[in-house]
Amino acid sequence: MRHVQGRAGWAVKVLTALGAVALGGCAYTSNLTSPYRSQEPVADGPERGRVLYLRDCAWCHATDGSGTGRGPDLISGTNGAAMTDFMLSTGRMPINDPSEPTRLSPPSYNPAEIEDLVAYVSAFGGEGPPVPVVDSEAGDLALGLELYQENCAACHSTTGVGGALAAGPDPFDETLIAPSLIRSTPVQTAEAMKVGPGTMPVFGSETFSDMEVNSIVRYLSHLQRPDDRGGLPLGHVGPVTEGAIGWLVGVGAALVIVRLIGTRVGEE
Amino acid sequence: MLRQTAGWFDTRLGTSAFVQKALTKVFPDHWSFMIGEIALYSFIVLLLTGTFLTFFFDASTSHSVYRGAYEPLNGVEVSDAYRSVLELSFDVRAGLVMRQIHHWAALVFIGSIVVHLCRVFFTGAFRRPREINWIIGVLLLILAIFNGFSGYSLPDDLLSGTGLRIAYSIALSVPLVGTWMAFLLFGGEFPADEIIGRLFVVHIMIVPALIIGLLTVHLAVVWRQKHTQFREPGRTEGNVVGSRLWPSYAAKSVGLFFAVSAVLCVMGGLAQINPVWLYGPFEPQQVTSPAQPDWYLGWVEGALRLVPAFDVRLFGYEIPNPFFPAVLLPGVTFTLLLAWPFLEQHFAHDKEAHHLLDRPRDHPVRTALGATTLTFYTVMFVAASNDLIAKWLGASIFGITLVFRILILIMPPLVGWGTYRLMKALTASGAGHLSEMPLAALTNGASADGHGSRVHEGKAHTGDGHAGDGPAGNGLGAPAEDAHAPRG
Repeated sequence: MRHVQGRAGWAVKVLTALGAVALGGCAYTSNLTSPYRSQEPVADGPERGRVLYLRDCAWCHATDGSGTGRGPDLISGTNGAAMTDFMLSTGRMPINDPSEPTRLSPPSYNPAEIEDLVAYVSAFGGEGPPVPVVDSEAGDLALGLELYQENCAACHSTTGVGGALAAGPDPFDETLIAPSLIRSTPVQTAEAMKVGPGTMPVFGSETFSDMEVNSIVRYLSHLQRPDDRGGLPLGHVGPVTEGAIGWLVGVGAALVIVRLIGTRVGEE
Repeated sequence: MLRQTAGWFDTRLGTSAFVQKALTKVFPDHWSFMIGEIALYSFIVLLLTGTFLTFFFDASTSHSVYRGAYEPLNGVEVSDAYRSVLELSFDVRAGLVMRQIHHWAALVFIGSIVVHLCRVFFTGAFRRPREINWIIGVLLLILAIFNGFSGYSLPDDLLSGTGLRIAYSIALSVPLVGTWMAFLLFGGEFPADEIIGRLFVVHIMIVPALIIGLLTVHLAVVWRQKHTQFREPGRTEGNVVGSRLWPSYAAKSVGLFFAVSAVLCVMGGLAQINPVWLYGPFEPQQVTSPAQPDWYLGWVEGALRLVPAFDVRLFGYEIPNPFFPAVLLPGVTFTLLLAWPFLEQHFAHDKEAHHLLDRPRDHPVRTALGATTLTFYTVMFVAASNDLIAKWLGASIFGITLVFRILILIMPPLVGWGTYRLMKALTASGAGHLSEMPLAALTNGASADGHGSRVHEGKAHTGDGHAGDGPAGNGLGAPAEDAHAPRG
């Protein structure tokens, strides 16, 4: 009897310890949730870029843009005006938690605020390219198609809808996505080429002339409003959705028809 | 006038006896007997639209400049094949809708063949004496898949070029003769200039001629051996109950032709398929992603994606990895499929002739094996879209592939076991239909020995009870035909 009591007591102790660890874990992780970010608008003025930066960015990227354990520096590599504008205008930054993936989403700032932030971050001395000037009308559509097919289609698909990339060999990694370009603005497209965000390679001025960039952007704007003269576009992903429609609508309708024409066992 | 013409032919050919016999031929009315006709009528739509397309398609990889309504390629030098498909899509009146109807018809054609095959399999309609038609049917499926792929490859766009590159690599992977074979088929190293022209001849002449020939034999054998039918009162091993060809079955069948054509035309008119102008012309150094074949080759594509990377060396020769999923697997698949009637005869010790069909529950082992097989190919089929699934779910493509590798090992036996239990329970419950089976039968009935499941085998020999409609005089033991009384 004493023996049993002893065992029970031991179990209670273990359970208590586990509970304490769990509670502590909860408390720890809840401390780690998003840094406080004010939703109040910051008044227009010479200080707005600095205020927004210190409020929303400095926690991870440090006050001078040199980076911290939570986020990379904003100076080395292709960092600079184009990179900053790309990350902010595509809503990839800011993120609430350093472990969050950067995703294409609605931007957190209006264009004027982004402009101020870009100016403030550029002053850190990043050597990346400036925000490019794009004139897609000056581009050549056929040249754009050729360059797009050759350089972009392998990841972003010939139709621009994007695709999955082979990530690291860890099966539990989040997938890497070559994002859809269907909503990309001409400036964002040019910026991405010049700075190579994420796993995308850099297609800098030594790769593409301004004329070539303009041509790619022009072809992309054609892809964004493609000539779907065949009817429903079915997501522009090719045989996968076509096969689904072929079975569900085509074979499905034909089977319904034969069922209506024919009889069942026991039916006359 | 008509009578005189008929008489003129009859006195010279003796046609009236044949026509008389043909028009009174009896066809069963069960809906599942018309699935094969969906394939037949899709094929006719394919022939009609395909003929139109040949008037405009130019099967050559020589280059010329496209000048037409598609702006991004206007003034660009592309292959004649691609140029002519662009012209069909933009500049030839009704060209695009014909292309689209043709492509949708191909998807539905092969889809309905597969459904027809499943119907024949799960009801045991392939049993003696119909093994011949089973073999012809499987050959038709192979030819249909082959013709689908050759058609998919003709436009010389970036997607189909990617497919041809895979086909070339698969040919290369055959041990010993692979390189020779690939060069022979393609006329040189990829991308060879010969392949489009050769595929065109294969696509519009050789394979369609084979399909028409085998289809004719397929139908003639059905005619000769007469239809199977489901077990119902008044239907025996010795008769066929249904409607006469003229007028009632002919009306149904012609109606089905119009209905299938209508479905295909609506699809071709409303839903875009294979927009090759968006894919761009094929250039060997380019590639697009996602790249999938049409659905009927999805299982091979999926197998290529699922088989892990490994090397095999035999007698000093390397057997390249793609050989296993893309040559061996289809080879084994179709060999087993062709051999199935004989395998079942051997293992089930049933070499008797059967004209009455099984319900799936009557032969739970066959049904379970069929379900297992279908699951196996379905998992591979879905795995062919692993990149799109990864994108849609936001999960790692390696993780998705791992899941499919696990699923392909556990799902087929699981589904097979579940099907077996279900069939046993269905028999034990005595329900006429799955929807009428009480749920409890699943747990209770499974242990009971399916005493009902073998009933048909006893019945199979009761045909001589119906002396009147005994085996017809063609010496094949084929059943006699009973038309329904006219319906009220």
